[in-house]
Amino acid sequence: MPAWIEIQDVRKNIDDFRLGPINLNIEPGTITALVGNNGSGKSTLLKLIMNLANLDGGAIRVLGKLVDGNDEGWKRHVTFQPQKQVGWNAYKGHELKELIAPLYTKWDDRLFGRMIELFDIPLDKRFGKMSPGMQQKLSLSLALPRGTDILILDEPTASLDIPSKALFMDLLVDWMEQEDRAVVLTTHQPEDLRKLADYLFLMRDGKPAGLYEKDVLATTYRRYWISGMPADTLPGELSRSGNELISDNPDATEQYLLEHGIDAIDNKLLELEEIISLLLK
Amino acid sequence: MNEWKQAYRLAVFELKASRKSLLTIMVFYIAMSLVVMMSFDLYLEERFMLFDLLFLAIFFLFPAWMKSKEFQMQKMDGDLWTVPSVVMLQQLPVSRDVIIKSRFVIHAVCSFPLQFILLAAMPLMSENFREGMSPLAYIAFVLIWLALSIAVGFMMAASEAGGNYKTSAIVKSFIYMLAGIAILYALLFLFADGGFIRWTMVLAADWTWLSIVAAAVIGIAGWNYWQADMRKLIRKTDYL
Repeated sequence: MPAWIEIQDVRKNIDDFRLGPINLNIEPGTITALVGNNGSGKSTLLKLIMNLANLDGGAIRVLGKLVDGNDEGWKRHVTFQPQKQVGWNAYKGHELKELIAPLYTKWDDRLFGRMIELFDIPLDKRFGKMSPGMQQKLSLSLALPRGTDILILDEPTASLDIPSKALFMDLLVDWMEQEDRAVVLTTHQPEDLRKLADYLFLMRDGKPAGLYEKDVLATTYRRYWISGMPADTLPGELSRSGNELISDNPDATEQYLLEHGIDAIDNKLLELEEIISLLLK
Repeated sequence: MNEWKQAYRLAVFELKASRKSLLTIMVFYIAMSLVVMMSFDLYLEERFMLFDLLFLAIFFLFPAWMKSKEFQMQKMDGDLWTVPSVVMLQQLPVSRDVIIKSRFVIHAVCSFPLQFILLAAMPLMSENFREGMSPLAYIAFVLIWLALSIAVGFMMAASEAGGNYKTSAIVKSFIYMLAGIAILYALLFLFADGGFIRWTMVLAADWTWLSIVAAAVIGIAGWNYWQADMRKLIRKTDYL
């Protein structure tokens, strides 16, 4: 089955910032998180997928169609939630629902009602008058019920309180399980990555820094506390400080320690955010 | 046809969301325009040239200013200038052609009622106008101005696509535009006897059928041209 989103050699220059070349495929049934420092180009990449800006090179296909081609039908299969909703301020919640819902054939009114109730959203209030957290809750409540094949979320939980964040993650997981769908999101929240992501696409200063399967990544990096740290560089060694050593190849490191009779006092897997920080250095 | 239906639906949402401020501003502008119209007779009798300029400003600019702030052109992130609705609709499964048509419907709602009132006020408020125009000439006159409303005024609707502009470039182009208008107006003052409105009155009275045909051609051409122009602008702009 071809990828639902194909990003090939995509490049975009914005003043001094150079994005790309980016190559990335998004497969159905997966959640891919774009992770990177501020200004690394994550949001720009999402907007390029939505054809909100012109490419300086490369091509993006959604469900096999070029996003900058004449056929705009692919948009019916994609939900995009930007970091900040533009043009929504003048509308009340129920007006936005009336505007958006008829545009999607699979609109799920029950899910919308449930989310409104769970998040306790006042639909008769203007979007611009809502708090950032409430705006985000309404945006999400207007995103999931569209029932599109592809969901693109730019920092979906940034303004949510802790209970709402947990609630949203449960809703998203449920939503993913209903059909073959694909989600692309950007986030700075380690919790989102841990609970939601299947793949992490790391970006640094506009350049790709690797695509990783989260579960593999999470078990690849290990920290060792070693008594009598050898002077030689160990297999898999990424960094060391005092009697601490970080390895990205625990099997090779442990084999070396065993062969050389070096005692590891303790060892522990690195937290995902530590691994990401290492990879983005 | 289906595109126009969808465009109309989207336009209604925007107009409904801003109906209070839209109606208030519209009533205010109509009242203001009628006050200005009281000097129409003076313009026709004594070549009161300021009236010409005021009328043109009311006719072409008031419709663009009628929309509430949230629906007007504004500076977004970076160097992007656009109407927020254009960005919003591009993130939804709405084709660019429908977005363009919806902006045109909104501009038509903001411009045509005011312009019809202005054009209807002319024979009602000026004896000189009534005397100089037969019913058919008046129809030609109205068509000329409606054609101008489309061929010139709908530039405002097309420009709502926005663009990526540095502030200095906007200031520069604004200055050029003002200079252009001043030169055009000076030329009209010198060569078109009695100002622009009077000139169109003469056209409608002396070349009635030609004016009707020309107005129809200009109106249709303007309608298509500005839609194509807006399509090009949207394609060119980075909405980042």
